[in-house]
Formats: sequence, C-alpha cells, structure tokens
Amino acid sequence: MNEMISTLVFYVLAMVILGTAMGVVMSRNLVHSALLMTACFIGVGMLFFYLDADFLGAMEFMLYSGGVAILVVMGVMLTKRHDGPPGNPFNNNTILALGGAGLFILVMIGVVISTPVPAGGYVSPDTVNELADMMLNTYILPFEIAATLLLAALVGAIILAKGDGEA
Amino acid sequence: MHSGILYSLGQSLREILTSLIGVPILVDLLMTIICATILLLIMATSALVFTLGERKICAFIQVRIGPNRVGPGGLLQSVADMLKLMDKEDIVPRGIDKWLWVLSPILLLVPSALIYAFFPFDDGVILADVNVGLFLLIAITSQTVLPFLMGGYASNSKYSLIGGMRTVAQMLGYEVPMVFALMGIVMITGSLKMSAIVEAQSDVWFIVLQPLAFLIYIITALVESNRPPFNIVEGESEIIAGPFTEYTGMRWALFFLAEFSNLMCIGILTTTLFLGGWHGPDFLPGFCWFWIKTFLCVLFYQWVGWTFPRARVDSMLSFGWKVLLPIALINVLLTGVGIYVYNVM
Repeated sequence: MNEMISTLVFYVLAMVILGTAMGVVMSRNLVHSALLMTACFIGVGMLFFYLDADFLGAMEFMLYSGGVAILVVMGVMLTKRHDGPPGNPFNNNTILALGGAGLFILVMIGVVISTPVPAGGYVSPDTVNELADMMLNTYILPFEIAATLLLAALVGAIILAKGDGEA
Repeated sequence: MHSGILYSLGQSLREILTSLIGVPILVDLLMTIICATILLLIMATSALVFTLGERKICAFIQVRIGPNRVGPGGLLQSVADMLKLMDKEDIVPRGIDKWLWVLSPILLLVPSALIYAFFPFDDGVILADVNVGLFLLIAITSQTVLPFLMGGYASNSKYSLIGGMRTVAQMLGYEVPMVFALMGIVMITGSLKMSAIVEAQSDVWFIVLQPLAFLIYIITALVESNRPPFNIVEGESEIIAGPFTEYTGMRWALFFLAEFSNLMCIGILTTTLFLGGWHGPDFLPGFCWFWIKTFLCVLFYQWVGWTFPRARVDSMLSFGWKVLLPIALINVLLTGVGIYVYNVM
C-alpha cells in the first residue's frame, strides 16, 4: 500500500510539473507565464522533498520560486501596455522550434539511458553538513572563483545602471 | 525521551488510533489532519483576539476610547466585525485578470498556514521537525511575496500595482539582512533543526548571545509581515491599502487573516529563535511559557506599530541595504570569531 501511494504521489507531481511547464510556453500573457513557472518550480521542489533531499527542495523554493517575483516585475515593467494585458513576444518559427525541441528531447533521452543509476536510493540524513563540507573543503577553489565572479557581475551591473555622471 | 503534557497527550491519542485502525499510514494521516485542524483553529482565533487588541489596546495607548458599545466594554467588537465582513457585498471590478485576482488571497494563506508545521510548541511537539527546518521556514515565508504581487497586478489598478511592486522591493531589501542575522544562531547551534535550536537555549537564551541579530531580526520581521511603521505595501494614506485596494468582503478578510497569521508567526519565531522557545521555570508546563512569550512578543510588535509613524519608502529601502546588511555581516564575522575563541579557550 505504501508503494502504491508513493507511486501515485510521483505521478501527480509529474503531471503538475509537466502541465505547468506546458502552460509557461503556451500562455499568451507574459505574467501568467512567469507565475506558472513558479508553480512548476514548486512542483520540482516537492519532487526533491519526495526524494528526501530536503535541502535541495528548500533551495528550489527559495532561489527559483522566489526569484520569479523579480521576473514578474520585469515582465510588467517591460511589456505592460496602456490597454489590455501584456503580450508574450510570439513569432512564426514553429517548425524550427519543433526541430530544436525534438533534438533536445533526443539528447536528454540519451543522457538518461547512458547514466548509471545506483541501485537502492540512499540519501544521507544530514545533507547540509555534507554539502558544506564539499563546498568549503574539497571544492573551495571553484566555490570562491564562482563567488568572485558573481560579485564582479553585481558590481558591474550597479556601475552600468548608475551611469557615468554620478558617484 | 520527551516530557510534557502535550507530548504525552499526542502519544496516547496515537495509541488509541492505532488500536482502532491498525494501519500505520492511516494513523499518521489522521494524526496530521488533527494537528493541522488544531493549528488552523489557533490561527483563526488569534485573528479574533488580535483584532480586539488592535482596537482596544491601541485606543488605550493612543489615549482614545475605542470600541465600547458591542458587548461588555466593547469585547464583542471583533465578532461583530467578522459578521459584518461576511455580510458585505462581494464586488468584482471590471477589467481585472479574473483568475489571478480570485486566486491571490487564497494562495496568500497557504504559506502563512504552512509554516506553522515547523514551530516547536513544546518538548517534542512539532509537526515536521526536518533537518533544514529554519532554512525551509524562511524559504516558505518568502513565497508570500508572489500572491501580493499577483493581486496587485491582477487588480489592474495603479495603486495596487505600486503596492505589489513595493512588496518585491522590500522583500529583496530585508530578506537578505534577516537571513544573515539568523546565520549567527545557526552557527552557534550547529544545526538548522528547529528542535535543536530550542534545545541549544536551555541554559542561555540567544537574545543574550546574539543581541545584534535580535535587533536586526525584530526590524526585518516587522517589515516582512507588513506591520506599521514599515507597512509601505499597504500605506493607507499613500496608496490606499495597495494590493488589496480592489477587494471587498470575505476576499479582503482573507488578506486580513493572513496579516494576523503572519503577526503571530513573527511572534512565535522571535520566541523560538531568541527567547528560548518553550523553556522556562518548572512551575508552568512548556507550552504555557511558549504562548506567554509569543503573546508578549505580539503585543510588543503591535505596540511599535501604534507608536511610530510610517517610514518613507526610499529611506526604508536604503536603510535595509546600507545599514542593516553591513551590520548583519559584521554580526556573522563577530560570531565566527567568538566561536573560535570559545573553542580555543
């Protein structure tokens, strides 16, 4: 019975994720797209919880789903017209898009098939400590380089936004 | 392992259910439903009590009389308010984004209710004691921004949209200092688990060890829950209640309920993170201490709101980025040095 419920939960989550992901692409309203994307991210976060990866699930909520709020603001500010809802920029390259998406799916299927999946799922009960240990001991150099790069991007963005005249 | 009245009550309830049903997963489900119902009842009742406080005690502090006609001394005023809200006409304005507009107040309640699962009310009395408790809690609280923005956008009104935008700006500006302030606590505890954080305060409360973080936390908590003097999202005199300008009746009441739920939530969080949670002298059981501290915190937060005038938007945002964030970072550094020195000695 436990197995059955677990499978059921997985398929419900998968349907939510796929459905909202379709909605992101199909919706003609940019803000609706962004909000559906939040729903999709929350679904993915739930999937992490379902797999006992608490930290990654919380991360998904915090960074991805929280970040969408800023995306919505951008969408409203950049596309809101004086009349009617903001539109999604659509174009007519349906065949090209179909080809690209098909290729991507093929690559993904190849990756999924060729990746060896370890038998018997095991997640350490204390993911946070292990992640911290990896980031701050084993991979300290890449971690610091990434942090410096992000800081440089942040400072650069502020300087670009402020312009030459001030400060 | 655990002691306390609430814990043994829950245990005996579980034993009775197990002997009645026998299937462990169904017992778990039933127990969760019972706990969730109790928490929702607490949430709804607290809204009633806090409304009364908002009107009676606020009037006392501001040297006014306040409501004094309904019931003895105006005690039934909040019940009357509730009946009035249910009776109001449900006005749906034209030109709105119908689905988002309807969903916004409902979705707003979801994160506010969800976080109650992570609060340790007594020794061992916590619905979900996950490993990343505090982090997950912050992640879920930050989700309250989107429904506000949704409502502001969907109302198709200038004031609402401005209010929605302000939510995002203040979330960005104050979430970061709050997380850094709480980092000090996590560093001392060495765990993100809520029960471990309370356990670590059995001797010394974190308000003593982390006074700077406590100050930052109470400021950011007021901002995050849209309480005056930092309620720039509503700003009745500037943007006419912001995201919920266009809502009436029960839909508006949902915004109201979420606000009071958030108020109690920051009270509980202050208690749990800084004031020792359910710890206290032995003559009262743990959950009594917990609620006494929580209500004192809520009273304090409301008191601040009744006393100070509303802050200006721009000064508030620059305060968050230019003052609170550096102080929070310094606090992290000091805590690190402190822990190092303590370990060496």
